[in-house]
Amino acid sequence: MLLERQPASAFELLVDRYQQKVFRLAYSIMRDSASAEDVTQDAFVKMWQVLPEYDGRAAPSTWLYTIARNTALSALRAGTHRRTVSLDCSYEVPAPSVEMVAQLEAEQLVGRLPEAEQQVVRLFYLQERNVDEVAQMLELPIGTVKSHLHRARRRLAEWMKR
Amino acid sequence: MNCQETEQLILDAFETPLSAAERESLDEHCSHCSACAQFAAVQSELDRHLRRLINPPALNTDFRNLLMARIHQRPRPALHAWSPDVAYGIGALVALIVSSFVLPFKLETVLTFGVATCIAAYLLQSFIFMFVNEPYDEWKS
Repeated sequence: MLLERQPASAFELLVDRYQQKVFRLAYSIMRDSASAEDVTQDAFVKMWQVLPEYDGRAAPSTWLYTIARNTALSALRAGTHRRTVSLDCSYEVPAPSVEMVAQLEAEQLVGRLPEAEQQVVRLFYLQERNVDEVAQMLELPIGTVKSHLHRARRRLAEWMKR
Repeated sequence: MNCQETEQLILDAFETPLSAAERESLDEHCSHCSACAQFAAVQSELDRHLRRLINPPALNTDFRNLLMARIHQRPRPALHAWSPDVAYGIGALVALIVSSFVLPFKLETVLTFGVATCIAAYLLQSFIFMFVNEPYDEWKS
């Protein structure tokens, strides 16, 4: 109701409450914090622009997550934000520890997962292991999120053993 | 509890805490099943790696200010929250004027009933509006 009565105040409330969550959702898609931040900004600006169309039928957070997801996917498709890895190694690289190697291997293994499982796994850990939140963000049933997670864990464990 | 159920429980434990009874039956099964014990160990190791690997990145501290600067450059939403109320008022006024000319009653009678009806209708639609929107009224809290 506040959204209809006082859109500016409601919008600021929305920014305060959801900026981190939207950023993490964007990060789980973009895999790069600068791009994720751009996407988060764009998502909030889009929300502000379509605010007069808000009819109260869906929760504002659902609406915002949908805008953020679509914005991130469009940015990926358009290639405006590319997933890049810097190859600049002008500094001295320390000798990798066993732990670093294990982390690197884990990163590579996660990267090999099917896209849907990969996103669920990343978002699950980004959102402090909250399955309900992940389900809401991706507009998936909780059971689907869990089965993606379980399949991914089984796959990763299998690959780790090799 | 068989191995399949045990594996399911081990995986569930990373999402929701197990009950004391579930934990007990899990421990009991793993104490005599090396395959499930190994599965639990590998999954714990994997969870530890993933927790270290996937850290929530920090949002730029200036994010909010930058966003608000962008927002304030944009035009405000075209419709104000009070727009429907104004439209309703204008409509009611027009209806009253037309009714006072068209209806074969005294002017006082038409105005009295007309104003009373408009106020009642406004209150009713406001009440319905509040009721319908209440589930998503998460802005107030």
